Amino acid sequence: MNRSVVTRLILKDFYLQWPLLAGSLVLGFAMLAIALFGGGPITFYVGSVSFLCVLILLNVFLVSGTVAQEKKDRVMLFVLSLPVSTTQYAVSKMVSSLLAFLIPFCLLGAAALLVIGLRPIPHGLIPLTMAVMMYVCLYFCIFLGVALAGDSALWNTIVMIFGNVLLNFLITWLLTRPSIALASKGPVAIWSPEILASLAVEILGSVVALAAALWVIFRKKDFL
Amino acid sequence: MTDLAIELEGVSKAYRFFALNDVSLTLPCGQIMGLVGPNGAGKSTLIRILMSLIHQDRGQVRVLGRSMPEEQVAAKWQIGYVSEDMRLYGYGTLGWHMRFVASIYPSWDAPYAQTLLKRFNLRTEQQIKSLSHGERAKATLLLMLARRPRLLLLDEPTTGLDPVARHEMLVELMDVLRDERRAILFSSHNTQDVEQISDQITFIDRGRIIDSSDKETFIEHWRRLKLEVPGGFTLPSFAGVVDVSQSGHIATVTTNAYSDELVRAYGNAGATVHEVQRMTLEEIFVANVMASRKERAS
Repeated sequence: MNRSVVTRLILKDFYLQWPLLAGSLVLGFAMLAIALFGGGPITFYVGSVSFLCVLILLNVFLVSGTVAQEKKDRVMLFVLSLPVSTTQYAVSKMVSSLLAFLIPFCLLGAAALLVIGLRPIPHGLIPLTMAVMMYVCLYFCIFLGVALAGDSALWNTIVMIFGNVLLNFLITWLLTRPSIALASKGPVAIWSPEILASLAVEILGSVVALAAALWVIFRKKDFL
Repeated sequence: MTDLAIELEGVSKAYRFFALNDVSLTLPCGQIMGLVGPNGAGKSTLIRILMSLIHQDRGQVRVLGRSMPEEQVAAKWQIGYVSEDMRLYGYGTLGWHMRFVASIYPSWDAPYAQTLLKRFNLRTEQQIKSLSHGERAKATLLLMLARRPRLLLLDEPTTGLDPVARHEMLVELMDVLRDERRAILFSSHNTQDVEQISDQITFIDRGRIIDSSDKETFIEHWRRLKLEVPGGFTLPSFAGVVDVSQSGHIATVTTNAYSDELVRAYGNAGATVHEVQRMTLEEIFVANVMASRKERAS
């Protein structure tokens, strides 16, 4: 009986998030189209950077607009008046937010790889693109975990600032690795140990961030 | 099946600057209890413990026979909770909220929901963000009442409402009690609301229950006596006297155990009782809180 309530909470979140999902998909595809059909390196650059911005905006709006805002506005009290425990509420929020992020993230990621495949762009960019996209995923998971497990707007802001700033450092760091910089200009994708290590850290970090948030939530005595 | 809707035994919860101390309380089914206390007294903390939104550090909490927080999900199927700071989804319509809640509760009473819509003058197509504060409070109440819960936990639901909206809300709450298996715990610092609908009243201050009884007992036992005393005369202390203030020959005595014997005792002691005043619930509340604070300070 209660599994169905949790499912309904997830579906409810999906219903409330669909304009954001649809908007990010439309914008993301539009930016990729600019990168694909722009015809020059500048339009490719503008399209790629804007595409990355769309993913980050999706991340920020999804967490701050639905998870953090729901707590701040006390809509959470309404949901918690329903027959769900506080941990079931948090788990439903985590699942719905993850799905709402991963669906457009995967679709847009696949489309980005398609653009690289269709355009006369070195396929060596694929590992770099994957590492940067996985960073956005890690950023989302940490932000979601902090917003769900904590009650502090300050911490949310700190994660947001560091998440955005560190993206620049990551790109710079990746491009200053000789093996990555060289391989990114090559005709085939080369999965160097550094790229693989970056991806492993990002995937593991995402899982750890969510697991740590759940660990905190399950031990919490005060949910307000 | 238990006859008690709420049982609290030795419940404590400590924060850095506030503590709920050793709260024991029962509410039988079919009763309305008004929980009255000043701001920061612990009313919301107590109700949130009953909803398992926060967990007690010590003590036993049972709601509709279910141990909390362990059996919170089972208990919540039969609890309707409304809080003054509870909000609905601003972009959702009232109709969407109704369909959402109805999809969860098999007990959702659609004809009753329609009746409440008309009574509260609400429309299903209205977006929540377009509603006034009073309309939003009524919409929240509708979503809770149409589930037909056995226990209503209302945390200052009338705060900020105009007198008409407050009246509509209170009338609806009294209507709920036609079903004698239902119970309501109603917190407020507005003693008028509490006096209007409650059978039992509990006063809470600084995290402690300072008094709890049925409404009639409070009204019958509390009195204010206006006395005239001879010069240089000190009034003797009698059992049940919670406050004495004296200015010259005039003294005012507040008691929580009024009887004709007390009037005679003051007369025998040399004072002349000029007037015995009944006290309003608000006056009883204030006198009770002040007496409790004085007692704790001494």
